[in-house]
Amino acid sequence: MNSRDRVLAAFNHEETERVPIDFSGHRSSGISAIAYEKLRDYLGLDRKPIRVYDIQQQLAIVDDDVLDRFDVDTIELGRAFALDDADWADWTLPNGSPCQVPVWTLPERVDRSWVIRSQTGRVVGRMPDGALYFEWAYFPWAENEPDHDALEAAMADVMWNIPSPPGPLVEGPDGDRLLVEGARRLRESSDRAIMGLYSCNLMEWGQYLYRNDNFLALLASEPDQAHDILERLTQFHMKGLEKFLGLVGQYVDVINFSDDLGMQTGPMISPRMYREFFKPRHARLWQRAKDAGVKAMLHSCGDIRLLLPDLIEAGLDAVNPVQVSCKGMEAEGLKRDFGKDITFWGGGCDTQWLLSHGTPEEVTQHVKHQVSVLRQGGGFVFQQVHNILADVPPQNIVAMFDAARA
Amino acid sequence: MALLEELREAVIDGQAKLAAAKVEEGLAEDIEAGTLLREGLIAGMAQVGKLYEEGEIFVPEMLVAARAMTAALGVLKPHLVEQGVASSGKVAIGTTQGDLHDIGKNLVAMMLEGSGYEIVDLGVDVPADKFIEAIKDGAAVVAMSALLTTTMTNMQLAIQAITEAGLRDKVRIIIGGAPITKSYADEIGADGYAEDASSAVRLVKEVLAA
Repeated sequence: MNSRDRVLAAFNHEETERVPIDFSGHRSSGISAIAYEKLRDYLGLDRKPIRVYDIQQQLAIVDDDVLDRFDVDTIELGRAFALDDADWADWTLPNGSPCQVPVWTLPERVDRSWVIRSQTGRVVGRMPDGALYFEWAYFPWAENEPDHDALEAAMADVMWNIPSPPGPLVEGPDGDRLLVEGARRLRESSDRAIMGLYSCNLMEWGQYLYRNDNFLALLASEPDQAHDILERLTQFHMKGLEKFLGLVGQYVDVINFSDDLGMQTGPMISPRMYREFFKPRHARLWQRAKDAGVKAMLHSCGDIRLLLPDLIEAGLDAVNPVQVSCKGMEAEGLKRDFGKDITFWGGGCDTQWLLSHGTPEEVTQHVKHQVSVLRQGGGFVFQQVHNILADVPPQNIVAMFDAARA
Repeated sequence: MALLEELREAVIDGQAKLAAAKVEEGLAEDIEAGTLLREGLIAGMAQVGKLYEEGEIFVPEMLVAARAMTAALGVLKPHLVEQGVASSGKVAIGTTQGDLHDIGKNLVAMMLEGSGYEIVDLGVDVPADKFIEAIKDGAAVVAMSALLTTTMTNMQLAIQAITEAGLRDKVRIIIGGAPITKSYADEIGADGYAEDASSAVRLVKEVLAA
């Protein structure tokens, strides 16, 4: 059984000889460049410039030697691109280590901060000295009057619109051909399950444009405006998704949709509000992926237990990252109540406390427990709950992956 | 009194314009500013907190209620000052150094303001000396939040700095944020932890009474 079969078996709720493992298959299962450098040193692998493909979250490209060491079963489509040295520019990590970033994301120094700019030249992200990640510096419709007719122009000035590879490498007249060729090459050269990142965020785009608090308030106080922008976003995403699937759908196994709906203590919005504003739109987008023979996975952080019945009803195949440290998100209860209806992609190891602060023995014990609960009857892909942050000791990372495969 | 009831309802329903208008109406009827604050705004926000904890409302509804309260309080404030109505205490609030996530912090600040506290909002990425300055300026409570495991440890450093400045016994320190737990608060010597904005209000009351 190869890696792709192992991942697809999870979706079919079939148990496999070992659980499928995702590491760096998408932008919430990766590793910070600082932690990755330490991990390579710890594993005794050769030193090379770390490539930071996700500038906002400072995530490293995980090299084949590490993917092989941990028997990783997934790969992100983006790894088929930016293979030329000319695609990368030298930069320095916040800890002083040399690294490389995609040339179109190279940060600049402004006032004791690193900043990143949108294509229009506006500062959209900022990492002050002492911080380890970029954060939003600009919300188009918090500072200006919202103009739904100018949606695409506003989207261009959002930090998350600065793409990870392939990004601009597949734009222009030759772009479609290059995208297809890259995807085909990856498919032919790897038996890992290929993850296509086409996230179609609705709640999150509302928050990026309006700012989180303003958008949540809009949902509660101006439902017509909220419906208007969410419908425009859905149509925008649908158009792009159809094109993406038309070009590379045959090479991709899973589409990673994304919309954070939870907090530590429960969903951000009520199930009623989810049903009114989001559920029908999510269902349309997910169905389009499924029609192309691709699995639909949703990344949605926090405690979303109350929303799971609606997510399942809307046709979702897998939910990620299963934030088990939240109230109501314990693996046993989730597996018991929803395990037959959905695949849990995540929940393999707590990242909020244990992975950073626990001992390797505690990590081993915790991971073995999570895996033994979640793998029963299939429907489970192992992933630590979120990206491995800069402060995570390499011993814990090795303990985690070794326990997952045991 | 019907007007106070209407003011409370306007706050709970998140109707900012109506809440502000009801305060003006009350002032015109010579209702004392302190009464409008306590029996209108604070009572309304207390009900909002209760509905949130019971799962009847969620963050969007709590946010619009807090915004309605803020709008009404804006009208009321000059009259509170004029009539010498004291706040329940001064709370200095901010995210810890290196952390720029302020959604939760802002919600806590609004809920505390709606409960009669004076808020000194120090913003995001707040170094320890800013908290120290606020304590010297009379803050009775310092509230810190962190969303990241990589920044939460800066809370401990801030508490150490406050202690070294000889101010630890002059202030109550409470903390919150996604990765924070009660045991972490105990471990670093904070006076309390709250898991959401509504329980933060209860916590401030408790630590000030202790």
